Amino acid sequence: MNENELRDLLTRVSGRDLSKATLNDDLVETLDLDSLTALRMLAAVEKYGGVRFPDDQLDHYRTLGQIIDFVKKENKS
Amino acid sequence: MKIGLIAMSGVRVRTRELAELGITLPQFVNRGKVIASLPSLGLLTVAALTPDDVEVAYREIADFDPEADLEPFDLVGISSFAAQIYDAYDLADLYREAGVPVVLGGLHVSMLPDEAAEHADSIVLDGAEGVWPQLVDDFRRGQMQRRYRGLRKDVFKEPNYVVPRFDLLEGRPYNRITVQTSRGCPLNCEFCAASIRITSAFQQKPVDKVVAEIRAALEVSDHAFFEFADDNTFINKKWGKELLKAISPLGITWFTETDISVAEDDELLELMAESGCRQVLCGLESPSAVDLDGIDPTHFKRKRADHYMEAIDRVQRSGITMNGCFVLGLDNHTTEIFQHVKDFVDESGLLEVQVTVQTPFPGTPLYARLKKEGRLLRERYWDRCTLFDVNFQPKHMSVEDLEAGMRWLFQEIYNDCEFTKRRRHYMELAKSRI
Repeated sequence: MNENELRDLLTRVSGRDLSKATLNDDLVETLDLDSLTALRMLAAVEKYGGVRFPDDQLDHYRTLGQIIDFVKKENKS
Repeated sequence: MKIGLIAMSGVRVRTRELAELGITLPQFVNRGKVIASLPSLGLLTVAALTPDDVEVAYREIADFDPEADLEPFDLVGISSFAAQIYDAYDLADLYREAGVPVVLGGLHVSMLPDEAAEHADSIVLDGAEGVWPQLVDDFRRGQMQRRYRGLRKDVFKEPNYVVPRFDLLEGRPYNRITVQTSRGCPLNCEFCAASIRITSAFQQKPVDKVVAEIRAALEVSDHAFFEFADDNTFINKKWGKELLKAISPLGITWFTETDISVAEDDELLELMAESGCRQVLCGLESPSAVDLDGIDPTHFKRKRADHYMEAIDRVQRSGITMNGCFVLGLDNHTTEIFQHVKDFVDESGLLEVQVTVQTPFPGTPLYARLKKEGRLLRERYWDRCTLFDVNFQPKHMSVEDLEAGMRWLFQEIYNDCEFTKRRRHYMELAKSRI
């Protein structure tokens, strides 16, 4: 899953425009997301990225950069 | 002329042990923050009912600095629930001592008007609709009456209906905006102290008015998360579907309170999910049907209790999370109820859980019954009507058993580990809808 694919996926799940979000923007704050939408976004990444975020660290993945790094790392290992 | 409308808000717990425990439990704290941050829809409606040539300021009790001078107003209106009513009386007394007339309103005032009248120049009973413009007019002429009674029906009909002044929330850090789609609830549960007590019949707002209100609120906050300030939004499924089809194009996300029967209608659930429903709060009250005898006159909840588990699964599989509410201390509860609720919660996969203690709010059938049975622990315990403090003698356990059991249950279900499990369950369910 590359950056563009991730942006498309999260845009579809959140219903928000991610085109201006930088890799370092906190998505929950920048897009003013509710906590459930944030969880749905991570669930979407898991489903289409073939990864699983650690259950006790779900709140740590809040930027596009963090999510991309995690997906890359998981797919390498 | 300037009117100050002051909302009492926040979550309170009086029992020391529970208060100390509560602040250490993340999920308890989070829900408390959400409730505390909800604006007072009642006062925003009062503001909209105020004549255009009168300036209105919306304030919340948290805005007040006890060390500072009182903000100058010509007239002050205060609305409060039972738990904060003594703070409301204190504030009213302060303003009156400063020579500023005070009007009190809200559910508690409607239930105990004589008590409230001791702290006010005027009180408003029931809804403000149909009476607030008259009160303001009387005040300007120096003829404000001691008591006004607002409408108990037709509140959503012209000329009584107004769009609440959402613009007064501009610049405030609300994470949710409230919109009311109905007032009252036909179930009439014995303990209910909500809007049913100030309405003579269940009332639903015309769908076009709900849409207009949401649009008005979106002008203040274009990414607002909406909370429908209803007691049971989808008791009428036909009207509910009309509403959902109308709000779907607005692209909002929302939460509401309703009953478990939403699970019986697939089309309704689909429309709810499509229109942005993120969570429903349902009063399950107790895991067993036998515990629910006498809760509501038509046995609506008792008849459904045996299917709770299946219903929760159907709702959550549709992409909507459920906040399941349990009331401890019902007459059929023994000390086994605490483990029973925990087991049910574990098995159900509920994303969120709200556990409270049965609370005899003044004006409710429960209050009248327990008073008659001599089971109320003290007089005028309104500041303990927090939903977490025990104010009555339970039937099959001691007060201490109930308090200790509630603390144990809080620790069991509101800790990080359990919440993490529930979030994982939600994510797995969500994947089938993405």
